[in-house]
Amino acid sequence: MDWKTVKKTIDEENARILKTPPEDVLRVFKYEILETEGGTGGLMLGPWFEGATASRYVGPYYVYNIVKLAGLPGYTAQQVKEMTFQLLPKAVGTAKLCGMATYAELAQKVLDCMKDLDTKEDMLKLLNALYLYGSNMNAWIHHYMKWGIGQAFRIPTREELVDMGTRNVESFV
Amino acid sequence: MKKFKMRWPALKMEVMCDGISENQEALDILVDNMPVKAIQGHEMVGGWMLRARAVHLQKVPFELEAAQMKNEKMKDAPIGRVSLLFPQGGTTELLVKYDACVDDRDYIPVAQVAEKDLEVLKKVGRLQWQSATRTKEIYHVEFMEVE
Repeated sequence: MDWKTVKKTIDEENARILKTPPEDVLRVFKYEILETEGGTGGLMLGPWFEGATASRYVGPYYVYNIVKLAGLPGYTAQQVKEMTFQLLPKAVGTAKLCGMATYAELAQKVLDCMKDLDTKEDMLKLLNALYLYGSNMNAWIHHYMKWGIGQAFRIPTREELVDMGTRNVESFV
Repeated sequence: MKKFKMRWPALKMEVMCDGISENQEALDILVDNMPVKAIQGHEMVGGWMLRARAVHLQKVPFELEAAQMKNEKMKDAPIGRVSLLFPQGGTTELLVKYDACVDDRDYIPVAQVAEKDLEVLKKVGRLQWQSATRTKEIYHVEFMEVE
């Protein structure tokens, strides 16, 4: 596929998901549906944790840093390509296994296009589109992540820890 | 110094943000991209901060080098500080400290919420925290330049 077509697709998605939550995120994080058969033992917490992390790594961590470095004159187009292929595939694979189907598909299309690109300018245009897409996904995942679960795992205060320590022996009675 | 408003239409609330002396070039780029809209979120580790994780910079790309910008740790910043994170190309994150933070990572400060609006900012922060942890209401934030 032509890289400009892929960029246009991602740009259109970026405009759409500014207003509408992405289907990947609704499916996995709101409705708790996972079509990949991932989630060891039928548990969703793994795909949530790993999927959210991998999604953040693809865009705001990996692509951001690649784009940032690519902007420096010392980095060649070949180096940008190598960084992309070194950093992205495993995170994209994890996001896919955790149900981020569209995100993974778009990221894979970017990787496929990158093979044939020769100039940093074109690479940056394409990668920048993916960076924004990844940031949008990160924003929506953070929204739908069920942070309320955290109420069950409040960080204990120092006094509570001391109290727990002094009462520890009671659990063995 | 440039000014802009942050507005949450669903909450019918807004605050005025005044540019600060640091990182004026970064603020210029942010303002040149306004009006812009983003999904409002909340910081989940570093403390009481609003965090918009995907602010689109579609008109003027962000191409400043890191060395050109001054950093500030949120734990040291005043309440009301507006800072950028990961600004590059067509995207940035934008955070606003509305209460205590322990966050010792580096951010790029660009503006300060007006003193008179700090209570409104705290209300928005609390409502966004409720959204993140309980209600899941979707709030969008709008940024617009003020002449």
